[in-house]
Amino acid sequence: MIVAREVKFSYEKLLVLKGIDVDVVRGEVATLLGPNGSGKTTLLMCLCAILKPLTGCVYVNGREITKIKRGELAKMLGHVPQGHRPPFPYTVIDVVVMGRAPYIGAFSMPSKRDFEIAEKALEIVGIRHLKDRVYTQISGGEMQLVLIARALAQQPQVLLLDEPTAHLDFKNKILVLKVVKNLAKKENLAVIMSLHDPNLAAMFSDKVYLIADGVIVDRGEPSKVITRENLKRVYGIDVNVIEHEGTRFVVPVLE
Amino acid sequence: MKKLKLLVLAVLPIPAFFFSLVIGQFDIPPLTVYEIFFTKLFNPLISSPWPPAYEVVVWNIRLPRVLLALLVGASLSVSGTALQGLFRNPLVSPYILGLSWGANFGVALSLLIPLPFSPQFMAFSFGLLAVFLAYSIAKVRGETPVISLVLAGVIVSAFFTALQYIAKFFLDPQALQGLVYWMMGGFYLAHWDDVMVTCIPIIFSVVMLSLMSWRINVLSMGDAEAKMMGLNTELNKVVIIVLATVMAAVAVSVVGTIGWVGLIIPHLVRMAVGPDHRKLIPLSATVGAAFLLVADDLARSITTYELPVGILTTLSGVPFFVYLLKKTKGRSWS
Repeated sequence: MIVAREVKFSYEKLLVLKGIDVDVVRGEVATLLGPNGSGKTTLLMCLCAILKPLTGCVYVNGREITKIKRGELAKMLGHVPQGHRPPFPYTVIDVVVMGRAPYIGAFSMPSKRDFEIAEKALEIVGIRHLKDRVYTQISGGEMQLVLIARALAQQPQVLLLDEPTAHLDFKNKILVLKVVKNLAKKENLAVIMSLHDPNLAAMFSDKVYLIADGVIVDRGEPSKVITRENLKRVYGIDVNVIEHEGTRFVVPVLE
Repeated sequence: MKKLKLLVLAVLPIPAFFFSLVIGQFDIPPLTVYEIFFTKLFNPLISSPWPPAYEVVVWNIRLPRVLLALLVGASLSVSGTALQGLFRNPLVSPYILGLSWGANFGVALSLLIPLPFSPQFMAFSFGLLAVFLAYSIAKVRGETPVISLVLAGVIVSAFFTALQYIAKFFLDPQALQGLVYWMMGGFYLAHWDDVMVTCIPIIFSVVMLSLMSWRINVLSMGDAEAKMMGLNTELNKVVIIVLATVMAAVAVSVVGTIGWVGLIIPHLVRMAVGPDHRKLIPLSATVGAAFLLVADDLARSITTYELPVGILTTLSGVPFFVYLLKKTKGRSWS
């Protein structure tokens, strides 16, 4: 569904992505895992054509992404930004209905049907009851869900999330990632997200791309990728990997 | 209750209009004023039972002035609202990109050197030139980040301020006084011609920006997000800036740089009806129109000679704004 081939990217002269390949199909959750500054966010921005790769290509549904018009791309690919504060206190439903923008002409307003689709999106992520609340007055976890619902209102086949768990508490991290995983299965979306925490990556991904310094160190099922050796290589710390009821947990070794 | 509030704000210019027609130095009974107005409106050929001077005052002095105040009020307010939404910044007014200083310099130049153009035309073209310069300075690799635009506006304003001081330095005292009056802004020279010149671009821009109001909601989330929601942000930005600038430049060229209306009315309306531009843009037009009209009523009636209305918009706006800011604790911005 979404494929990257040999993507390289540089800011000025600093090469940030050094030839990256990604393949994600519908119904699959892929996680980009890696330390700060490894190139996760840059890669996500290349995958949604906000940044243009130096060399290499990104394909969505077999088409080269730079050849797809913005308006059309927005119907194929939804992007969930990191939690943010918008300048105006719009209501939740008004924020979500903005996801209908690619379907609405420059001089038109969202129709009743657009509001229905937006409400459905809120229902899918389980926060329909927040619809008339003010977006800037809800919790961080709820905000993240609103932004996911907004991306869903675009009715995309690919969903990209930039650190969806940043600044969330323990419970909200789990809540948001459960929603994301469910979406991939039930709405048959190809999902790519970036995460910091190897444990959350192991719990909620079908596939992990371990990234360090602009290259993919390892890729595949979490159980194959999240290993002692790999984490030592990427993060430079010693860890133990424990298995509990089929799930793997990473525990740092403290001396 | 909510619907009633919207309705009241939407029809506000109507009572303001009828109230303002009877205000003036020349004493005419209110009923006669309305009689003259409706007779001239529906039956212009009927012979008049009232003194001809009455008709001149109502139809050729008060009416164009009232209509011009409505148009300019709507223009500056809608321009300010659209730009505040686009720039996501509460300090933005129609003059943020250098429009007013460009226009001031244009007028100063026309007073300094004999040119084949009217001061109005000079104000209009130099106002637009200033905004165009600001936009060009801010544009880097096909994109114009909001912060660059605001900074470019500051730079261009400073540039035209300096030029304007040079022009002032060489102006004779009488021309200088004319320039100062023009800069304060007012409607004392309002004429039917002014109404005719301004009404088409202003009404056109108000309608277009009202139609684009939902787009402004999406754009107010920021460039990156608006792009991901499928918008051509650069094109949208240019269209909105052009509409907001042209409408304000038309207003400024005819009545001078009236301050504060374009800054304060967007805030007032946002505090009253919330941040959704679908309501905000059209209601800024009606509230702004009514506000400037009433301000002008005061300007021409509280003293025996005219005060520049720009002084009154600022003086009346400040305390009201402080009150609202305290009351809402700035909640209409997050």
